[in-house]
Amino acid sequence: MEIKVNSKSQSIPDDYTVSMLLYHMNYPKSSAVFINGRQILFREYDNYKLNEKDTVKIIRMLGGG
Amino acid sequence: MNLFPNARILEIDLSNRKIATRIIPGETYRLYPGGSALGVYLMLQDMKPGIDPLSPENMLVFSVSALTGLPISGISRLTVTAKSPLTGTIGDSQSGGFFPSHFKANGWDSVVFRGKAERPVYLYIDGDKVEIRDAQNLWGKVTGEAESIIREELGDKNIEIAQIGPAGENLVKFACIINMCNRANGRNGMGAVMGSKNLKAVVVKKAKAVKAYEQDKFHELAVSVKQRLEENSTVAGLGQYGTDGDLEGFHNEGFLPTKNWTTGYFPEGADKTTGTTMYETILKERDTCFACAVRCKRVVEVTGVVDPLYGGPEYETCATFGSYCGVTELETIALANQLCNMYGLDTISCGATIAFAMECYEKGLINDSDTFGLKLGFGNSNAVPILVEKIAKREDFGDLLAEGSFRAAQKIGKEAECLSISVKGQELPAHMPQYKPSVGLVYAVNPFGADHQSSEHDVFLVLPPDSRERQRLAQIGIWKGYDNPFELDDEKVRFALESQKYFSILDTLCLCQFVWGPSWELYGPDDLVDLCRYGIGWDTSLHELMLVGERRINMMRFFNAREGFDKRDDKLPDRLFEPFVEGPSKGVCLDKDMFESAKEAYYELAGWDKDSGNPRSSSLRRLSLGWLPDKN
Repeated sequence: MEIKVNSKSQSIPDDYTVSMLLYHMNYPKSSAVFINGRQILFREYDNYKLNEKDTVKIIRMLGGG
Repeated sequence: MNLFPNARILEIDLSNRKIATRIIPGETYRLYPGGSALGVYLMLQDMKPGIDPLSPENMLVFSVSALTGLPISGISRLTVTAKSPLTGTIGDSQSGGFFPSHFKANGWDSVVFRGKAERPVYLYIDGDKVEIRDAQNLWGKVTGEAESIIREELGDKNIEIAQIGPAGENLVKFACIINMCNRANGRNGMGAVMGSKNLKAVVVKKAKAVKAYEQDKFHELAVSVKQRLEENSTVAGLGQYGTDGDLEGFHNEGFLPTKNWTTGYFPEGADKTTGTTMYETILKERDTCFACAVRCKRVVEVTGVVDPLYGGPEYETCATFGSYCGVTELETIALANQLCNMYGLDTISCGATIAFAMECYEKGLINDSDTFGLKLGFGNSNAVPILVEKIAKREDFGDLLAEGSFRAAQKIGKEAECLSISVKGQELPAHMPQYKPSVGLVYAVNPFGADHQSSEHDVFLVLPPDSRERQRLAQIGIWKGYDNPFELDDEKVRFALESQKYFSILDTLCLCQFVWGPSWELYGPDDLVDLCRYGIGWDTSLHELMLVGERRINMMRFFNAREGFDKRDDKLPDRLFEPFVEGPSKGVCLDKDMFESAKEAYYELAGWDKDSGNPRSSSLRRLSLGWLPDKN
């Protein structure tokens, strides 16, 4: 199915979770994820399944140094 | 109940070669329990405003804290405080390593240097045996060489050495103090102050670790680090790839300062200079500080070019000598880092000042005659190590750059002043306020110039409310989340101020922010209270600790007010308010009106005067600083 991740189209299999998407797109687990404007809680990442045409925003944490 | 320990201060009068001990009672030490809080407290007691930072009248204070020396991760930090020759404000700088813990284990909380030695000297400390020793044979030597000579002279390998290199001797305005040949009290030119006193080094004999007050509970807290590391991928990643691990990520978002901050996009070099590339290519090993399990320090080697003795570059160094200058070769960056550690230069100000010179050259504000023939365009990697050495030695064009970009710009004139990307004369570190506006706010209002380690960064407020980061921030009263990092509303300003107070605790207690910070780090605010309790029997609270942090900031701001600084000095470079013209951040800039409103809100929340931006007497009294106005 097709979703949008940070404004770009992305094809993913059915039953894809937020954790799988982060892994697939090489984002760290500590990224922030918003789906259709709602922020997903950390504890939901493993079980939250993405749906066709979802709009996903992923923000990496870039901190100290 | 345990009484707060007294502070033992070593007083060194270099002019008269006198050594004395001073005790600060526990009830006073509790208000200023180490680091730059103790340093600025001591300076405000005795130092008059208006003195030349490089004159004998300046005080130079090395401080650790009431907690230093305990065997736990992230606790071995040294703070150096003096009036800064770079900014003219209070100067403040931290470093890690083993020196801090051994200094404390010798029974000292601080050493204060006054006056100026007639000839080069170094200080040797072995418990209560303290000697001012001749250092004429060390003068002019780079750090590695000086360290070897001192070890040979003392016939002792069990020592730790904090020293200046030739840059400090030559009074380069951003000279630093180096220990282990690779740990730097980098910022604010503390090495130049040390050089102005003819003080080459401070040498401490290694001593046994300090014992905790409640041994069992302290031990439990210390060994929990293993599990904390397993559960914290951010800190584990920091350990593996170092602070440079995120460099390419910043570029991907369009916020890696590049070509003297003209863009945030570095496609030609980000992947070549990021921490994962360093890990796969020139990294020899990971190093650590006393008792620390994180092991974030890099040790790199390039055969025949870069010696592992001098460690390896941090993120800031990779950015300032890399993307700032348009340099894409990691080996050049590693060499520049080595030269800075050999000569004793702050890598941030040094790289940023070279980037400034490169832009001046490209814009025709300086030419081959000014640079003594050096072609200085962005990306000229050959020029970088040459310039680092010339700056350290104050040779030809390096003499101008040794003043830092702000003063160099004033001398170059024309349009150069707007090309110095600095606040209060100190060059900006590699975190862009366009992406992290609250960090930009703290860059502006921070008492000792632009600093990225004086508050938490905006991005952690974007994480979900059930994240460890947000849960910990809630412990210091930060409740609001955001769906992007770019906002700077009242609650974000409060986040900046409250997290600045928290980081101020860390710079007072001399704790590493990667281990003891308020959000993503290994130990959180509640753990810090436990550390104080189990470590030294300090039955404290987060409330008291936040007051300690706030007190330090207010003392520093008061120090600056005496020197004539006010809110007019709290300004960011104009370039930050101009939209990016390329890359993923194209069109993004810091909103000027939003930023100015945030600054006003900050002064109000801090209890500072809205006209001057300096602490009101009522705010000082609330922080037990009612004695300060008498020190005007």
